[in-house]
Amino acid sequence: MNGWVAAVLSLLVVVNPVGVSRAVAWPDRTASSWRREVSTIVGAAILALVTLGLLTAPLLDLADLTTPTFRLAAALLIGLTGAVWMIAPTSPVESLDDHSSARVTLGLTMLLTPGPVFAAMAANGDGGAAAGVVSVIIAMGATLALLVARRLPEPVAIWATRFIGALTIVVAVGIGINAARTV
Amino acid sequence: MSKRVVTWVIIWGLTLVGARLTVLAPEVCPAVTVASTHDASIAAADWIINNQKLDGRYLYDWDLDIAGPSSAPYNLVRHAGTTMSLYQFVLAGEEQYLAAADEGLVWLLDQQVGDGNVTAIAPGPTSRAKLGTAALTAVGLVHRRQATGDTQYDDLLRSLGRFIVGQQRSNGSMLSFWSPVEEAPVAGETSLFATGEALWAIALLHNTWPTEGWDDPAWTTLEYMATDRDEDEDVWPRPWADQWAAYSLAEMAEWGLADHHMDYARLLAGQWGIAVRWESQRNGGIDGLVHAPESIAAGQGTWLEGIAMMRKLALADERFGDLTNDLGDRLQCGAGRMIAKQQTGTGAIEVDGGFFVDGVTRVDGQQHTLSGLIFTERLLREEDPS
Repeated sequence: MNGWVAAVLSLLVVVNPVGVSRAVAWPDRTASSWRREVSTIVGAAILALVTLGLLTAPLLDLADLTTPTFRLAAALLIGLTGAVWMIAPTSPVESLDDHSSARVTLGLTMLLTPGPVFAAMAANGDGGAAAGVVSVIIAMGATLALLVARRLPEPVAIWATRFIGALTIVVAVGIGINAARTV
Repeated sequence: MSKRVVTWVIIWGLTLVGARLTVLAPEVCPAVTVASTHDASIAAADWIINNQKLDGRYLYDWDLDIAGPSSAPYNLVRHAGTTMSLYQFVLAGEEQYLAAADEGLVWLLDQQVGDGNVTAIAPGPTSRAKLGTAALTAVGLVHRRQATGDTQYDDLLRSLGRFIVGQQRSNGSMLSFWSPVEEAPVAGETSLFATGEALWAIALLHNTWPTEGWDDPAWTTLEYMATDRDEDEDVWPRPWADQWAAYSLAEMAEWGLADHHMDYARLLAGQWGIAVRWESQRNGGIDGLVHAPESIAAGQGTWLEGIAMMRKLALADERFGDLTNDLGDRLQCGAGRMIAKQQTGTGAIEVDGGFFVDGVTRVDGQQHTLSGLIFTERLLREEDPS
């Protein structure tokens, strides 16, 4: 798999925009506050993922790890994340807190799980810094669009989430094989 | 909300701790220098020659638990390989090992069978001769010739070469045995190891005598190894990490290798890359269990040989050039780890200089690691000529 393709595809599927948009689709939000909050969530997630991605090389040096070894571990976590999406799509999260900051924090726990974070870091190794940044922006852009739209019927959202989860496992296997074949 | 955040923190904690103890355990690569690599090579070669018997044979193995050798029978192929490795060291400038290597060679040549037109090496006049023994004997003789300029064995080399080519089938695969009784190859038996050993030998013969046609059978066997060999031998994962294939590819680097040969080489390089990386994460504790079992020293030594030859290919062929630095890093990492495993300072000649895994060393552990360390030292000298 080409480095850019692997980077973009892995981020897109492991984030699972359909699954996240369904899980974070709190029903009690007014349109304007909702857009502001999800924009903040996605913006913060982009910042965190891009920063961690750009810090991949020094972090791996610090941890005495080579890029292919990290990619192998990332493939494992991406695959596990896909399995979770496929087997148990997250139920919509009820926000019991009226504070906007609390809802943003809650949203970030949906986006900044180990799978996407490791995928963002591995993306930098696959295709370089540019591929890492672009893949994060594409995945998060798709997530933001679906969060704002909130129009997918529940059964479609559930099965799409499961399908993307299965696709995530396939992508993870590809990344793992590629990492295992790397010197 | 707090429950979800706590769950998120727990998931992250378990992920980071679990990964660090297993797949993300630190890759520990002890530093290597020209001096440390050279000293380790000398100690390994000394283990071989200090334990050499009067008839030229080497000590086959040593078990620390019983303070003695095992009951495993002596192996001619490994004898030939060890002799070849000593000649590699002589070729690298360590002429003091020539006499011991020649003693090993004389013992081998005492086991000759054949009619002179074709020569093989067998454990007895009516015993089956292994292709691998003849191939590694031929490789050793070429190295000896390169190191000394002595041409006294040229006729023998050619007859060994004719024997090797006589074992080749039309698809490039190699029959592993030859019967002195039948004076013919034994049909139907191949070997995972011998095919690559044979290819390396005839590739060297072509580079020694470029007009004699040794390249034709070499191409045929390389084609077979790069395409069908692993499937025929039913090995998994593929390609089989065959350091003899790596030696052969490096020897044929200037012949005009095809793209699919380079693809094969790239897959081979990947096998050794992950082998060294995986081994470098095996440092005791849970990571030791996850990355168990440890390969025997001979196996780990072959990784060094394979990586070194892939690096040689990378330097010679720009299609492979992107791997040069990574291959160099893995070679140094693997060498550093082997040096750390080498026994020194015990005062026992059966122990000092040996590479022990689970308390056991075998002569090919020293052979393969010595070869790998020779190439590591060469790399380090390239990087720092001072």
